[in-house]
Amino acid sequence: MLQARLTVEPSRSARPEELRAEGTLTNVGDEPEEVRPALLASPSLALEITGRSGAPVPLPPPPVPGLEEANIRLAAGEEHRVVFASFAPAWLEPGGYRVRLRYRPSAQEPVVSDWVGFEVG
Amino acid sequence: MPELAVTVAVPKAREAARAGRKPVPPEELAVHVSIANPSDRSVPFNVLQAQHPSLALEVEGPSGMRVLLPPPSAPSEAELGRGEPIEPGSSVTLEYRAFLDPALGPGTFRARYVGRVPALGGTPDDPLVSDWVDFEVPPPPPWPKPWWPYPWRYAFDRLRRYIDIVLFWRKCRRVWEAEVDEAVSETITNAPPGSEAWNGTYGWRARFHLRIEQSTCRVIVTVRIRVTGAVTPAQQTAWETAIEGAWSNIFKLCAASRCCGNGYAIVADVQFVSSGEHQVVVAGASTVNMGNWGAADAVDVRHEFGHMLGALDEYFTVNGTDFGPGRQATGAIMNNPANAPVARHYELVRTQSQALMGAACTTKAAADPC
Repeated sequence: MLQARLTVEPSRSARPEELRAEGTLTNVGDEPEEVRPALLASPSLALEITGRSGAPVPLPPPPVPGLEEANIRLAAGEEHRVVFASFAPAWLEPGGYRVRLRYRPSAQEPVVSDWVGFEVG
Repeated sequence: MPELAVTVAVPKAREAARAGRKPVPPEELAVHVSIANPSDRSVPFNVLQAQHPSLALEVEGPSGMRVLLPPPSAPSEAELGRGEPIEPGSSVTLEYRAFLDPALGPGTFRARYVGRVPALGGTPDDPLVSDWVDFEVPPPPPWPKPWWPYPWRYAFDRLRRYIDIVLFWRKCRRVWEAEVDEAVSETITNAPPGSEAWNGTYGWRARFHLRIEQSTCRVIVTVRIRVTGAVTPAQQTAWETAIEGAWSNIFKLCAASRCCGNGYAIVADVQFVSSGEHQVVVAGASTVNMGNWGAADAVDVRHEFGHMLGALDEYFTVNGTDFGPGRQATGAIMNNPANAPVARHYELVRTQSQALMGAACTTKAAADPC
């Protein structure tokens, strides 16, 4: 069973592209889990951003599929860490937003982190 | 399906044709548009906005070339609103007069009403559209013959010829420039099992500087990029070379004008800047979207540049069109980054250039005749 966490630093920046997010997928179950790193490589695939009102903020298009790394095997208790050096689009208007990590390897419910707030401006 | 119904007529042209008379000059023609509400509920419609022919009408000339109409006046508060409703069973009639260039003809032209916004009865995806209505336009009147006798008439003719030569020469030295900033979105669906993460709606801004030069017959599309992250000058140069090589001199714009009869070559120019950028790119381990490029990548960045020009992805299903898997051997650059672009990928460049020049433009392969 996988659990997702996300942190954002700094929590406020005048330049959206300077916001950095770090996500972690942890195997909190007893059995090993396979993780596809391609689904976490791009903020466009792995993050959801909303405005204060809850309206989704569209992210730039994701990478062209077809070049994938091998799956990662997480043993029980192991975690996989991803860093999004610049996850917020440069054209984000000043204001408050929320972001969460979303790992969606199938049509079933994705594994999501808690929402984390950040400010632009 | 729009709730309103629209019909268009050009009565004077129709009467002249039926009576076997000469075609009516364009400046004397009136286009009548009737907007009716056959539904059982009130439908908003802004008559003030619809009164601008350039907002509501499309006109095409012989061979289907679009006739660009004069720009509308600055809108008033009333013109910007949703307007007053057309009640069920009611209609409004609009008459458009004296909006066609007196030098338009000759030939068979056609006009129709197109309302692409709710205030004009439709939406961008489901516009309110009438049938085309044809009308004949006579040849434009010649320059007036001077009344003074020879040799002054001869002198006037020579002077007019020199004026034409100077004006023609000046016309072929024109330069148009504009900053383009357009919101673009796409919805990806139908991703195969295991790739559901790609399904979703994405949005970005296509931003570039457009410069059209008649003297060199080129359309120069410049994207200024501010790069952050770890990338070497050589890697940046490799990005620039790959992108400019992929997008330059592959296609051209053929414009309805006397200059550059073989078209305007489209040239891509990537400039790396420290401020005043169109786009910010963060260098990292791999290219994962339009704003995050692999420092050592010289292939996928070509595809991401296409997004900066407004091109959409072409894999899985995008905006309802099924393209199939990504990176197909025969896929164009927005499906397979290693391949070349096709004409539709320059559509935003084409429409912006057309608007700048005021002349209809089509995108053609560089080697094809205009």
